[in-house]
Amino acid sequence: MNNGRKAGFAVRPAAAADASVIFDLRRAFWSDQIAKGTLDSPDQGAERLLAETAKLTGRARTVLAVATQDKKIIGYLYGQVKMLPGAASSVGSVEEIFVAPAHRRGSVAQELVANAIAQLKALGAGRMQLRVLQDNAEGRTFWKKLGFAPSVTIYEYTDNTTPSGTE
Amino acid sequence: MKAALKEIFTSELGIKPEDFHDGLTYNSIPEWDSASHMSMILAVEEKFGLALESDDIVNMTNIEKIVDILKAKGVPVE
Repeated sequence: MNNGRKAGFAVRPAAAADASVIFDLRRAFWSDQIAKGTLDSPDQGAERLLAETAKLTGRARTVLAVATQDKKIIGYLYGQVKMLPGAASSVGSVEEIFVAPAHRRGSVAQELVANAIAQLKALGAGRMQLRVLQDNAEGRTFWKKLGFAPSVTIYEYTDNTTPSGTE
Repeated sequence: MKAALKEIFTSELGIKPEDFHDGLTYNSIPEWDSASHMSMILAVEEKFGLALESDDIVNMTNIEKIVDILKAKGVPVE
């Protein structure tokens, strides 16, 4: 299942010893989101993020996988199975995925996702979901290529009707 | 147990402490929705050191049910 070996990388479950490296990648992921306008703070709860990262390995209903090349972690994926009241089936949710910029466009992300889908299904997920910003064209293309399609659109109200220059 | 749940609901769901009450139900307030439900569940598991079953997770739809499920798992009420 791990086609990354041919490309020189491997995907494996994260171990507790990976926490500090994953934390660095998670901070990079959040910085990326900040640059895209998803988050407001440049360092949103770093201490909490660090503590949470350490707890993710081995957590129930959670997938935390890393991509490695020459034993160095070059990317990670964090997903979880969500069980919601009233829902027909459990949902496998890709919460975060990040590949170091130097290692992109080499199918690392695709392998992380393929691995996550298999694991989330094994954990009982009946369907897979994730969130993509509308203006993230690159992301939407990526997920479409992997078989994901939009199912819900969130409309945000923007108050841009106030005439400028009024008092 | 209620004090711990109040702490979880304020820290994980972001509600004000004074807004926590026994009548809270899933989706009755914007803060307790599909996006935050699993965060609350994970915090409950972590706080009380237990693993919840799928049925427990989908049945935790109000404070009373959460308390009943935790009691059944041996968590002392106070």
